[in-house]
Amino acid sequence: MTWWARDSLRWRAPVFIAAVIIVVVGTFLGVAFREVEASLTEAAGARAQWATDQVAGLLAQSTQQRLGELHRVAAHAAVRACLLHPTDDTREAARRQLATLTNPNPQIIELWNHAGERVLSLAVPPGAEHALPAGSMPSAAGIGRFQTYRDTLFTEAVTTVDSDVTADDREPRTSSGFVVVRRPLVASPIGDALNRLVGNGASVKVGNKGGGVWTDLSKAVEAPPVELSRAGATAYRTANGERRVGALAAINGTPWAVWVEFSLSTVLAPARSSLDRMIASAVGVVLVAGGFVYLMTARITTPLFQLTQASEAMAGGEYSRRVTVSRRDELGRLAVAFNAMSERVEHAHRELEERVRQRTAGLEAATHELEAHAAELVAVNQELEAFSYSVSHDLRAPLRHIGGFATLLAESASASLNAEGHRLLKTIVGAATQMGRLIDDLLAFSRVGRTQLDRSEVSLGDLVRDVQREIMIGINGQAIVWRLNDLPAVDGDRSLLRIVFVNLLSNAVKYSSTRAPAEVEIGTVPGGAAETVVFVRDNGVGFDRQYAHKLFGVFQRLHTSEEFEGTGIGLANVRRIVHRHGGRVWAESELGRGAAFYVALPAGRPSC
Amino acid sequence: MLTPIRTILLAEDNINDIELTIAALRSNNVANEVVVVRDGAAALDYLYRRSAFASRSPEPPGLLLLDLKMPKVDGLEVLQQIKGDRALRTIPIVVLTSSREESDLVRTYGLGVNAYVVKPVVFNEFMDAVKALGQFWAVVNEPPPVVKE
Repeated sequence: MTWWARDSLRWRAPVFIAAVIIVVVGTFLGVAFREVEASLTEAAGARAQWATDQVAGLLAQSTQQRLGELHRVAAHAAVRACLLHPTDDTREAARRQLATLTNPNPQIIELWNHAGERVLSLAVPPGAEHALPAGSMPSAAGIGRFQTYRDTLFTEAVTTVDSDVTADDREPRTSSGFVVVRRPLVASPIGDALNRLVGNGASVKVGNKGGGVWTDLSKAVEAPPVELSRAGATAYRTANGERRVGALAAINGTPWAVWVEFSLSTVLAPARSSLDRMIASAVGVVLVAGGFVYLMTARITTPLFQLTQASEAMAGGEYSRRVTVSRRDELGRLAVAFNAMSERVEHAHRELEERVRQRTAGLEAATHELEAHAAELVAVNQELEAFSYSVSHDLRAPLRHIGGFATLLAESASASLNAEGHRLLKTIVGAATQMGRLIDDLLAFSRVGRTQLDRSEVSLGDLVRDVQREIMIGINGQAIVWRLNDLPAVDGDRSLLRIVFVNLLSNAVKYSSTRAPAEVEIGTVPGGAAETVVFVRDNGVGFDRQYAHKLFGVFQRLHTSEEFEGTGIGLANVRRIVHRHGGRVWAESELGRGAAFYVALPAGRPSC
Repeated sequence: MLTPIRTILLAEDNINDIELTIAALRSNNVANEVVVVRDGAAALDYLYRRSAFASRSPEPPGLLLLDLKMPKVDGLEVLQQIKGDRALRTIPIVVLTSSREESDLVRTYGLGVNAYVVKPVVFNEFMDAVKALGQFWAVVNEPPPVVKE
């Protein structure tokens, strides 16, 4: 592990602390900003409402003023006279009177009687009638809604002309007609004044209550995005995402409403910049805290890292590694303990190595000794081989000669020999033959002990069937009942195991030759998984149990060769072969009641 | 066509075995001339017509009965020499061994021997074996033609 690894405490602690600070401060800042934003928005709404109410008051006042002036002009006798008696003179007088309506904007002034006739129409200045429509008979006095005519916004103000009151006051005052004044809306300084009043970035709109034509006092605009019949403050978001707050108020005495709105961002800007400053200081806090924690952890992890490195070096076999002790706290004590431990480990390791060296030396000496013994054994074995070769060759030759010449003598001196002479010669030949057989058996026995085991998987079933067939060829006339049960496969030398079963089966046949029929059974004894136990059972003469230990000796026989022929080497071979396979062999019998021979072979491969 | 009766070469050091072998051949009516050599060197001399055998007839023997254990040059060396020689390797060779140990030896060397016989202790068995051999190789079997060099 290296100190810059991602998993190192040196990084994980500062990063964890910084993450905690970021989460806490971030949450706090987020909540605080929301609160500030909400209260600022509310304050902005209140401000917008206040501004709207102010503007509505101003507009109501100015409208009342206009109506008042109109009423005063309409009350003049010349106007009434013109309505009652419309002649050129009265018209002229009324025109002069009506022209006193002061206004910098163009206007059309009309006089209507109750019969619905337009008595007088006056355009100030002349030509203004082209920009404004001709009116119709008004129904009631007051200020009218905003209307448009050929892209021109205009409003209408109507006042009644009272009938003259007779001197005696006999008739009630009634209206004798209307004065209608139509004025287009032109850019007026009132918009700028209002904007100045509500503040920077604010805009004012005036329009009809309940929808229709709306204006910013210079041109037609869209109505505010709120329900236009209800006064109050509203915050909304424009199509391009800007947040704005506005308020609506009705203008008394008119069918109009006024709307003042401004962008929230202007309002929230101070809160935003204060949030930015707070975030900047929070980042500073995080960095400082992280750095501080890093330094603190480093003070702990540096010695730990050195200890880890030393431990890893030790695990890698570098037992002489020590760490420097420079502190008195727990880490210092840990370093001291580590040094003590590594010293002991180094000591133990050295001791162990020394011991291993000694043992190895001892083993080498023993190996040399063993090799010497093995060489000796090889030499002895070679000597034995040479001996058995000379036995086979040199001992058999004189025997052959004895037998051969005795036979030749029996033939050539046949006439001069009497019966006793013939018997003696025959005995000589028989004895030589017997000795030849003994030599052959002895050589075969020594070969069984000498040859290397050639191991493979041997199917005992196939092997026993094969041996049984071979034996049956050499049998003449003997009735034998064979019972061959299933036999497993074992690991062993096929040709040597064949010798085992040739001996056991031919013995079984030989020693039960006096039975009719002879019965021979071969099978396995159920037992442990460690070994395979095969039995060969016959119903022959059997043997006396007290001589059982002699059965497997070389040239040991329990019967004379007159009873059953043989040299007594077969079972000795059997035992030698089975022992070389790491197995056991034993026999059970009762005299005259058959015999059973058992061969136990290890299931696994023995180490010999 | 009558097969010319060829010589049987017997390479055997033991005088008793020589006598018994010849007796066995004769009692089985094998009429071929039997030339006896007492060691492997003499056997090779005969085959190559050298020293004592320089003046013998050029016809090779019809059968070689070869003992393994002989002085000077043993039977295996003789076998090796004959089987390595194009002119001689067609001569039928029967190895006479004293024991099964020796017959193993012959088998191991695998020198292309035509047959081997373990000399039996029982003389009658030996006679039977020799009889079969002599008749088969010297009388019945047509020996391969002489290779002219």
